[in-house]
Amino acid sequence: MISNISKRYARAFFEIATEGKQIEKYYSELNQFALIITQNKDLGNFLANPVFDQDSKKGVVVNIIGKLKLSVLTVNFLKLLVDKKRIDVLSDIVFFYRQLMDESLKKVRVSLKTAFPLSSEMQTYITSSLEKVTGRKVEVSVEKDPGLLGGIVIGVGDTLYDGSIKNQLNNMRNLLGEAR
Amino acid sequence: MKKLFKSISVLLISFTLMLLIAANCVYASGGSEGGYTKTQWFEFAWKTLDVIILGGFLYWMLAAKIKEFFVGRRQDIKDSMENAKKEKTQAEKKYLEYSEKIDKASHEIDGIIDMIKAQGVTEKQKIIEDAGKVAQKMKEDAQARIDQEFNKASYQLRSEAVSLSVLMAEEILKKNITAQDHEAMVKEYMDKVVNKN
Repeated sequence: MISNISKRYARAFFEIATEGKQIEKYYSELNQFALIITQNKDLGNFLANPVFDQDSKKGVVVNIIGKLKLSVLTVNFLKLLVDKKRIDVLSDIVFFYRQLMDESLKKVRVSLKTAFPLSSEMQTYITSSLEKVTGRKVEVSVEKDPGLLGGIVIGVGDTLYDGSIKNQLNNMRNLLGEAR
Repeated sequence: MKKLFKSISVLLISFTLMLLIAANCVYASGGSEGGYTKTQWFEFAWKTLDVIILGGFLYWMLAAKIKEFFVGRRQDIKDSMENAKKEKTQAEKKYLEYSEKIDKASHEIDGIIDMIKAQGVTEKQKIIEDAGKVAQKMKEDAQARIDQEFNKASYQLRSEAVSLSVLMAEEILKKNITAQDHEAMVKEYMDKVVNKN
């Protein structure tokens, strides 16, 4: 559940990015920094801990930013988050920013789980099929899941298309179990 | 009663005469030594008169009392007999009364016994009916439980059979499915999704 504060920060940054017509670039930079925090648990705890003073936190953030070579707007935004003690909700801000961006670009992100590796032709076919279904540009992230036995599971927003053998076997089990 | 009185009078007179004769004899035996003197005869007469007077006085004094005694005694006996008769009658009456009461009580007891018997029969029937109902309920419960257990066992067997079948199907699919089969399956599914939407 994303808080309203996170949404407000995300919306404000998104509006600035829209004006500069660099929505995807800023998203990429924000996401890059957010991934560093997410992957480094100690760094995340340090930034979220109120015991450490703001100057120390800001210093660490500036050091990281310096190595990442981010745009000025992104750097300022991250510093602002540190000053306002909102750096701990950066992942939520990024998530909501992405939603706004996808909405703006008429793009939908799709998660695809497959039991066997898919050929590039099949991935293209799936992408084009999903674009027909959603009416939007589709960005597919593929994940291998041998537990499905066969077939695919597609997640489009809140909708789940389950074409896996595992699901079909479960349905069969339920049907046979309930039939008396 | 009069006869009795007369007999007593005769008895008293006879006694007096015998007494006089006895006294005369006594005096006569005494005269053998020189005969009776005039004074003796006068004394004898006087004594005799005393005895007569005494007898008359006794008679005058006691006759009425004796008569009264015997008449009263007779009356008492008569009264006693009459009382006894009355008491007997009353006793008989009471006997009859108590007999009637006993008969009535016997009837009542018989009635009570009959009533108790009837109640007992009714109670027995009720107990039998209740027992029958309880037995029927127990039977139904047992049957319901048997059905429930049977259904449960049947369901468990079916579930186990289904699980085993699905497991076997999984194993077969794991062994036999190929990448080509998978791609064909995915394509078919995507076509379905597109057609459905």
